[in-house]
Amino acid sequence: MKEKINQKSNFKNILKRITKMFFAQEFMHKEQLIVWIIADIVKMAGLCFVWSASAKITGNMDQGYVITYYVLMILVSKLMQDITPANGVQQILNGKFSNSLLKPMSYLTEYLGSNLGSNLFRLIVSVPAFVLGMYITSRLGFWIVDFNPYLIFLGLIAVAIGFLINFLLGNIFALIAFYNKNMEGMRIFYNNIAATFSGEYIPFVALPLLALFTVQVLPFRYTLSFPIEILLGRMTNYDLGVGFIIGTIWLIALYVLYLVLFKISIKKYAAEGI
Amino acid sequence: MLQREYKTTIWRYVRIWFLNLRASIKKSNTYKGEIFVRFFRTFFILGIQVLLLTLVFGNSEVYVGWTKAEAYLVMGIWNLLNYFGWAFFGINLERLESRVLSGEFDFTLLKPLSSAWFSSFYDFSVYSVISSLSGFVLVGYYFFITWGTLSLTNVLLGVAGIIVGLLFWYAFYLLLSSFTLANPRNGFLALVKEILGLAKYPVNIYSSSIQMVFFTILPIAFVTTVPASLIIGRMGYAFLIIGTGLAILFVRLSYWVWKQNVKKYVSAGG
Repeated sequence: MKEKINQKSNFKNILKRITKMFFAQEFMHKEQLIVWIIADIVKMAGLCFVWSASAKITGNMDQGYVITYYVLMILVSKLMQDITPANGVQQILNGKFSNSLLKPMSYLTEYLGSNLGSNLFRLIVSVPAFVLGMYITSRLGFWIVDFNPYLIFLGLIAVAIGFLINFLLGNIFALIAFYNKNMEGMRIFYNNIAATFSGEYIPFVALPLLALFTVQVLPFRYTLSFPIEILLGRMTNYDLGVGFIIGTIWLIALYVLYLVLFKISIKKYAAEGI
Repeated sequence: MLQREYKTTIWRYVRIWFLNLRASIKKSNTYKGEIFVRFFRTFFILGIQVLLLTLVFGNSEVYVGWTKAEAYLVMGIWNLLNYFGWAFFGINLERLESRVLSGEFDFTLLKPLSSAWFSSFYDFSVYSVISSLSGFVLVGYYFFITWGTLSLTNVLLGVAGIIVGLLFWYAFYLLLSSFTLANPRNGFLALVKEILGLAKYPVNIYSSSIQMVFFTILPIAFVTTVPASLIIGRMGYAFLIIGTGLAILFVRLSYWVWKQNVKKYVSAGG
């Protein structure tokens, strides 16, 4: 089955419409989303306690750094989320993926729009929690970010690169569903790997040198930790440069890898639906 | 909708559960590759948890009053409760929302069984039992390290504490998932998962006011910290008795809330 290639002008319009549609869809279930965000905050608050207690005892890192790191994560993580490992995989497994292939646009446009719509809504809902977190940490004297416009600009570029890397990783992972019909365990495992190496559970400032080098080379760091590290303002120009170069290389490499793997994998699609 | 009550003995429930278990085991044979993935994931999780605790401790011997082996014990108990909880009832209560939205829950109400019990235990996740290996390894490590100083009484008290912890785990899950019946797509189950996730570490990492909450209003301290303290010998019978009382109270409360929510169930689907 050949995927139809959309024109450039259409792409923008379609993406805008899908984004709007998913924004409205998320709004429809806003209570659920608010509770999810509260759940997310509970998780980050817990990690904040774990690492700040560790910083206090070991003295290996600055307490303010780890606390601000997790407060910033409330906001940044909302911009990075990709629903493809759940929804995309499900569509391939239940055969609904056929519909996407018949549409006069790439299915990636649809997935991208759905991510943008839901992430935008999640971001808006998370702002009050972020402001509250910032207020509390400032009052306690732990807030270390001074909102430098240059760093915010760089942070936003890193967010865009990180989101696209996460999106491509999710879509490459979803291709496994063409071969394997039970994806539940693999999906959970993928989420575990992505969360661990993105810096969600362990802030990279706590890692020893060798482990730090490993996570810096892997793509997952750029899907969460890197933009936060930029906003924290403790990176040298050299580290910033290296980070952006590695992130961009991953972005290009994953895009090429996706194109190749999709071309091979789509031939296996039988649209049987289970 | 009014739910019909039937007089059934506990043995009928046990028999039904074993039938469901047999069916679940047969079902799990369909995807053998999944077993391999779960094994692999279990060791990955174990590695990450060990790394996390190693980094949290740094060069320090003690973290918030707990040694590294004791922290492994807390995390091991959490893993056991999490994966066994998921195997026994978590997987079923997670599916409750889709059953309510598709209208499938109507059939549950028609069965001559407690709807709360059936919704909690109709399936068994064999794969989650594999993941619980990580818990056995961490708890086993603590036993191995402290073998010479272990007291049988403390171990037995600890095992009783873990059972009480599982009761709390079930009560929290049932309580919050029951709201799905009256108001589906509420996200409460995600919230309960994260709240219980806070029990992965000893409650001493939190401020004293939060610790107070975790021993009273939201008693997640009884999930891991209390059983671990019972094994170590830091807490006595009193905590086990209080914990058992609170756990029974919470289970009763969650069944009551379930019944109230069943009354609000309108069978409209999604």
